[in-house]
Amino acid sequence: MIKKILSGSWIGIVLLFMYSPILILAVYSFMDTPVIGGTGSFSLQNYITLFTSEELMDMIIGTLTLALQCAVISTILGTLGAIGAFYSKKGMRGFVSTSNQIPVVNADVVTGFSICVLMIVVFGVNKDSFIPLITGHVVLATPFVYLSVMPKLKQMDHNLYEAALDLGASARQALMKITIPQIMPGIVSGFLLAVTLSLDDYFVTTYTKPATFNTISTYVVNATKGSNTELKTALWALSTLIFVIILLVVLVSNISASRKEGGEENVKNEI
Amino acid sequence: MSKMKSKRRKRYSLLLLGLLLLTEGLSAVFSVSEAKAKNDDTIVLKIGNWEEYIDYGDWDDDEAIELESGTIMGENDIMTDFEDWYYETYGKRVEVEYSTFGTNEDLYSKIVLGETYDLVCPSEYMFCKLLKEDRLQPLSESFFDTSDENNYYIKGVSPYIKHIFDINEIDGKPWSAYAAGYMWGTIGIVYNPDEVSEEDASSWSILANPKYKKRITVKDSVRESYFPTLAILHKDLLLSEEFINSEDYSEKLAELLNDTRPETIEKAEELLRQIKENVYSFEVDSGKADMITGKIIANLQWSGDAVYIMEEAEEEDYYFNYAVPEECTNLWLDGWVMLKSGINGDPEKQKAAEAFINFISRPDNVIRNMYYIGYTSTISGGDNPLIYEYVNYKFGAEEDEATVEYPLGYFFSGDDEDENFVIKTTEDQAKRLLFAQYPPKDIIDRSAVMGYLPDDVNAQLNQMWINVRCFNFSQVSGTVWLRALAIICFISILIVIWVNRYRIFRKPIKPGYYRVD
Amino acid sequence: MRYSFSRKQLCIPYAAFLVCFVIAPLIVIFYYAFTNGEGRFSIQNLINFFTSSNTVGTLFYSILISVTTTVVCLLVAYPVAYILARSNIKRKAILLAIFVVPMWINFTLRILALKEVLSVIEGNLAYHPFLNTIIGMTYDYLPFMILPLYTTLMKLDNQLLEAAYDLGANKMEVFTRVTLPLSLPGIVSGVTMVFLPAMTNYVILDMLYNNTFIMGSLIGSYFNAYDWHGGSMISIVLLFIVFIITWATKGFTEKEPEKEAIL
Repeated sequence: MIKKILSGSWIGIVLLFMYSPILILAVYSFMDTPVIGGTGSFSLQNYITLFTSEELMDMIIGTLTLALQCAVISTILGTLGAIGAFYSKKGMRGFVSTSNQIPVVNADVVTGFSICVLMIVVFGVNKDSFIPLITGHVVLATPFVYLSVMPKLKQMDHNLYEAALDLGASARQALMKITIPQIMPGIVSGFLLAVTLSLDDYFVTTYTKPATFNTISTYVVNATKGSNTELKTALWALSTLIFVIILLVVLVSNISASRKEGGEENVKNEI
Repeated sequence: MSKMKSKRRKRYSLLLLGLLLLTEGLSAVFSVSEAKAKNDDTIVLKIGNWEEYIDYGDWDDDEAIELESGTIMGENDIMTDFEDWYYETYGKRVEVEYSTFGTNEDLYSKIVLGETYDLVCPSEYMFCKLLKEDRLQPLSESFFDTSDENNYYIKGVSPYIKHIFDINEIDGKPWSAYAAGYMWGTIGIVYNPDEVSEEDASSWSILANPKYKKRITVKDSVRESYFPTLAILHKDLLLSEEFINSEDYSEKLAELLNDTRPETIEKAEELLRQIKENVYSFEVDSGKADMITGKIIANLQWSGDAVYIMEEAEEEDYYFNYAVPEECTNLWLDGWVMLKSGINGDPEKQKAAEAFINFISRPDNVIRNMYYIGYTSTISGGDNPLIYEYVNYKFGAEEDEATVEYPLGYFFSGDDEDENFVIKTTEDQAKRLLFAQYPPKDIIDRSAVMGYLPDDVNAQLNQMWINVRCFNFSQVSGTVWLRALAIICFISILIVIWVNRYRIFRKPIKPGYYRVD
Repeated sequence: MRYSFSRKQLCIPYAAFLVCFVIAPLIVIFYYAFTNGEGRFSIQNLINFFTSSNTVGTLFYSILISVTTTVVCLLVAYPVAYILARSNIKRKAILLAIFVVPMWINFTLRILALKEVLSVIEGNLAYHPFLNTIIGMTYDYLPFMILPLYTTLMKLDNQLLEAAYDLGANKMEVFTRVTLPLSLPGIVSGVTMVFLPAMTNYVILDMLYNNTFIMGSLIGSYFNAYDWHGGSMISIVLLFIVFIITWATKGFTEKEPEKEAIL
């Protein structure tokens, strides 16, 4: 009994710690004061600015597009790489998995810095072409896709593939219809992870982005020297919205999934 | 898994895949179509400016400024208005690609790393550096032609600012041949008069004053911190009568405050370390917010941001003051320069870039910018009285209020005794907002401009900055080390006990049993 | 015969990508780290790094912050992961997701809000820069620690625990001798994901008014001063630290599923 109270309260404390800042952002997003901690009155101005400001909308859509594009590229690259590496000889597999670890454990700053130096100083690629930016994000995310898919590959039943080949399927068909569906949870979680990483990234983006492009993190950090704080406060509205949307998605998907499958839930967010 | 479920799953995943490919396809199509939409005729102008440093338009209707000579209203942002104006005046299409940077060093990084700007707006020491490295495109002769009615800059720039640009040179090239002033100001202390006395705020040594420990901020920038540090070091000299009254006061002042000899840098480093302990933070932008919410009571700030803070605070019923320390202040200037790498010898581009400078120097646009961002423009209007009317409109006293006289002749006509340019304002404004926006002559007289520093000196300064900011073992006192050592010993003892717990806490063997470990 | 499409070949695009964008930058960094201004080989940068009190001090401070953050994270996350994994709540995934959702909101915004909470609690933030930094870092990296721990603890076979109880162990012993060692891969994974980023994330320090530089800010400042050599050397040192940690923890990482012992 005591154990339950203790464990419940510990989780409660941690949840409080994690969510009080987000709740504060949510509260202030409904007020008209430009600084957190100031006094103000209830107003939906921030939400209005969020949806009508062209600059903000461009920035948000840009961030989302970047995240989705890079996630798609990373997922394809990482999945193919994982499958290929799994079936390769020891040498190749060792090389791929070791090089794969490097961006994972390396600091974002170093990754961003090195991509910048390589592409811009050595190769002279123009930053405006978005190529360094996309490359940087893909380098950041693909290893995590690889790491999500690999365990699933290891847990897969190999015999099914051989059986499919014996039954007359071509190698490609067998791959598409047998292997991929089995590792699909890994691919999906890898994709989600790639999106999260790209959205949250600051360092790689700063070093590789073109001048006119801003993501949410660079915008917040390289913040304004001037008087217009409307956009900053609109970002609070944005974060509140993101939070609510994700929470809803998580709740809805979990309720519907557990209703269908009942019993033990397969956790998607495995690493 | 039943067949039904797997079919549904397949459909969902196909849908998802389709959506994603659609996103990719759409963005690819958009970028291609954007490229196609640019005709070969359109001139693309890449402009780099400070964040929030131009009028973005979208004013409310009641914000329109009604002056004698006309009404000022900012409907669209300046860039769009410029594109329209250029087409009307010259018949060519221009597209402005506007981007921003946070600090001068950021801008320099971008330029070095291959960003091709055409027109940028750095601070004076940065465009000196760019000029020295021969990266700047000189302004064309037609830019200085006062007979052309569209050359608003040369016709409107304040004589005082023009003078500064003319007398300063790099390698024999005067600033004015390459740069056109945009905004200018001083640096000083914004403070809460309830908590900080005016006397304390009027000296740079407030930064190291332990009375205000952890309640003041400085800027996170090497030069902005080095300048006041030097002022504190030389406080006595700067305040001494003989120095102030000496003949070549301005030159000596400039020399003193641009002193970068190794001994000076060392002493500055010592002092900066003390300041580091004394301040709330090294801020880039958070100082404004912290000042308004009361977390700090004094803030080293540029005059334009000081105006913003004071205005915002007024809405909350706080009245902050802006003080320019007695010793000296820094006269900073931001100017527009053209980059060779961007212009690339293209006469059309150069014409467009210069036209942009002229457009934003047109008096009504000047007022739009000043109103929107709060800083002070280098443009005085020349023959056009609009700007002076604006200053009167904003800071002039009402009929029934007690007035003081505030001469601004030095700025508007070059002659400080000029009777036409004396604002009658309230004492409050003379100390606060007007004081920050248009400093009186005696403040100007004790200001110095930050000069150009050669690369090796810059490296030394940077090294000093890193020294100050890095963790220094000597910072940590002996007691802290002892305490840390004690904790480490304690933990290691615990670990040793833990590892050997079974040996230490042996239970005695009951007779007849054997120990199986 | 079937046409010679081998699954092995699938990894060629990724391998090529790795070579171009992971290995090559590394080589470039190595090049800059070990050459001086004239482009000749020199270990001057390395010597400079270890003799300058700045860099050594910064390294020390960064490691201090990282270690403290990692330990605090571990202490906070482990009970959470343990309780969640071992509980009988039906919708565990939802609860886990609730802990992970904050990751989706940009960390800069969250730290901004955290700053406000902290100032309400502490008053003047500038008096406790170190404490605030640890709190901020923990706040940012907690989900990264919870996830691997949860995953590993979920895989814990209940039968092993029951067997231990049957063999006479009490609760404490079961935890220390069975649960903890089996969750070690998760701990290692979590630590790896928190330790190095904590050494380089200078944005959190800047936002929480900690004026001291850490490794990340040092790289940034060298970068801004166009000193590629110094910056690269610091990166190499960081990589080296990571290398040591990875090598030291190799023995504790996840074993192949086929090799797992069957009771």
